[in-house]
Amino acid sequence: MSGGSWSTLVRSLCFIGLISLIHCAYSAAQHRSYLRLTEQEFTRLPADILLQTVVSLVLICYSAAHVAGDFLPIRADTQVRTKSWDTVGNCPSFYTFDHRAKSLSPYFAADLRPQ
Amino acid sequence: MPKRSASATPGEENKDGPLPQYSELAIRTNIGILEYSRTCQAAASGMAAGILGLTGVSGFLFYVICVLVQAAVWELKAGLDWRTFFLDRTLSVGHSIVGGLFTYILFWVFLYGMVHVY
Repeated sequence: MSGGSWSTLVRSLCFIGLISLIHCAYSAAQHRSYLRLTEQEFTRLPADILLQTVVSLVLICYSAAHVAGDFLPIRADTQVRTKSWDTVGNCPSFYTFDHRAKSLSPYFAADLRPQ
Repeated sequence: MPKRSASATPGEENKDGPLPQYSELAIRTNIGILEYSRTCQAAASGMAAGILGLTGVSGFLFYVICVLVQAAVWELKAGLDWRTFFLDRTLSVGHSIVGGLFTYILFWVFLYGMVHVY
């Protein structure tokens, strides 16, 4: 899966879930005030608010787990077995760029140290 | 190659050879992911419990259900191969369960007050 579009998808899913949950809170508050105005008892929320709450909760749980990033395998020794020496032994900060062209520099004679 | 035991104690050698080695960065990253999503789950489920108007025992039961849902989400995320990413098998259910409970209660009470009282 391409990294960039997956992470934006998962972030927007989390955001949508959060907005949906807040919308449920607002709807539930409105429903309560309606019941208060018509002097009815509150037993339970209407089924659509219930369903929307549960669905947005599951959406948030799922997308928050994926927003946090990928799991990394913890076994360092078994991971290394499948890699070639070229991959593992590559250490860019130890690259050397030493060759004979430095003798063409006008300051080369000044750099020569006595043996 | 033979599968190595992940529970070797230091000072012992496995019958297959040397001790297993773990990447500390990977362990820390994975626990960090669990912590982050546990907090999000506790907050969201607390909000849902407040919205739904749950009180008393049913509220705590709802938290237990949400913990199990979160365990299922994590198992899916790990591709049902928990041992590749974690040393402790019980973490999928038990990680930060009490800390999550406190966050849950906070959001539950707050949302219940917002929606049903005011």
